[in-house]
Amino acid sequence: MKRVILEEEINGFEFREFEDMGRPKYLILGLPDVGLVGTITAAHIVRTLNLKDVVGVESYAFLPPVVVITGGEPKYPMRIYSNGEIAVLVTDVPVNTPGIAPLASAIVEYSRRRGIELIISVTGLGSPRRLKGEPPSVYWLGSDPEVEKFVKGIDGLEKLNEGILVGPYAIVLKEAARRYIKNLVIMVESYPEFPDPEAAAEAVKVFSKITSVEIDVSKLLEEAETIKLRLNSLMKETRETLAKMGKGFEYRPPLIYS
Amino acid sequence: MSWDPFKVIEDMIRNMRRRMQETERLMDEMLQNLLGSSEKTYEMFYERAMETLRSGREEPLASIYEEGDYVIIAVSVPGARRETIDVKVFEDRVEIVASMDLRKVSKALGYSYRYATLREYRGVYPLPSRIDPSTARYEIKGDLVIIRVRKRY
Repeated sequence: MKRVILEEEINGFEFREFEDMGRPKYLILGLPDVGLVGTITAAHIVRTLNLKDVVGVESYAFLPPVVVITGGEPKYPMRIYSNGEIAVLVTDVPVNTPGIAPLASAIVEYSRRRGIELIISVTGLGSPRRLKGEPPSVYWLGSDPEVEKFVKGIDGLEKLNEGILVGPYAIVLKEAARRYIKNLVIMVESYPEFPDPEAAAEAVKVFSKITSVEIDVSKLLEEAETIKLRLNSLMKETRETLAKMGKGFEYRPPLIYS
Repeated sequence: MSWDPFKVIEDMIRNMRRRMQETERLMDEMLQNLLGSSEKTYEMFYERAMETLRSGREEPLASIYEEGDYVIIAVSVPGARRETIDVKVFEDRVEIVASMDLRKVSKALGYSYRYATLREYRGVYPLPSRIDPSTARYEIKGDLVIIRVRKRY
């Protein structure tokens, strides 16, 4: 396991840094959610850009006692990868309901301390349209009006004008606004209950346009079946934690409409 | 009886301490309930993993919804051998069985013992409405099996 050089505790979560993560402009969040869209997007960016894991996120109260082994090396189940310009948070375990608010808030505070300019949350919007083979629509939402400059001019990206967002990304959005950090939520229509690599490919394309970093999605699409099979168990675990956090609210309209 | 300011302060402190202890107890209880719910979730994950290990079978993920007069059941079977997919539709449920392509399983899941025993998808899905099995039609789109069947009135 990598040696920790710096440790910071926020809301019961320890951010253990193995090396200096630099001053990344973007932090992309790949927390398990509908269709595992964020998870697949984050993993693809890490693999394609060959990012290094520089921070382990640990909480003995809110995360299961887990070590993940990849390439013969033990790692924290929740990690931040970085190349100094782009940072990506991934997790091998779903976050349980009691840990969601403290974690989301801790991520925002940690981002503020590290000078992140834009937190990008990626999630799926469960839609039965996907089962009919229709291509997924992509929406965005910002924590403040200035976020629009990051998505201006991107074709096929619509602002979400109405809906309800539930889960860690809802807390990240609120905490980001409270702490004057910009947060962009990218929402891609996805299978409500299956991992959806095709939806993740759409999120990766948007991320490429925002950052002007070319990220090829062909491998992601070629390996879609393998990814779905690999993520079957995580999807089942996520489905149960989503139900507990009131994800059902996302499928009804808000009270006030325009 | 004379008024004793020290006694009043002492009572106030005692009251405050009691309230603080009570609040602490309630907070502890709340945290334990929350963490207890996490434990139950982890227990469920464990039971499911053990069931897969014991049987070599995985229950496929499914999405069931109603569309007018029809019930749509979509079942995700990545890594299944297409020619072995068997769908049975009953009035109140759908059953699906498929053998897995072990080459695909090994590529996707690696070499751990648990996955080496994974041989088959098998799922039974209760339906939200009674249906007419004779109207069932299904198609396979990639790794999705989509069954469309008319409701019985």
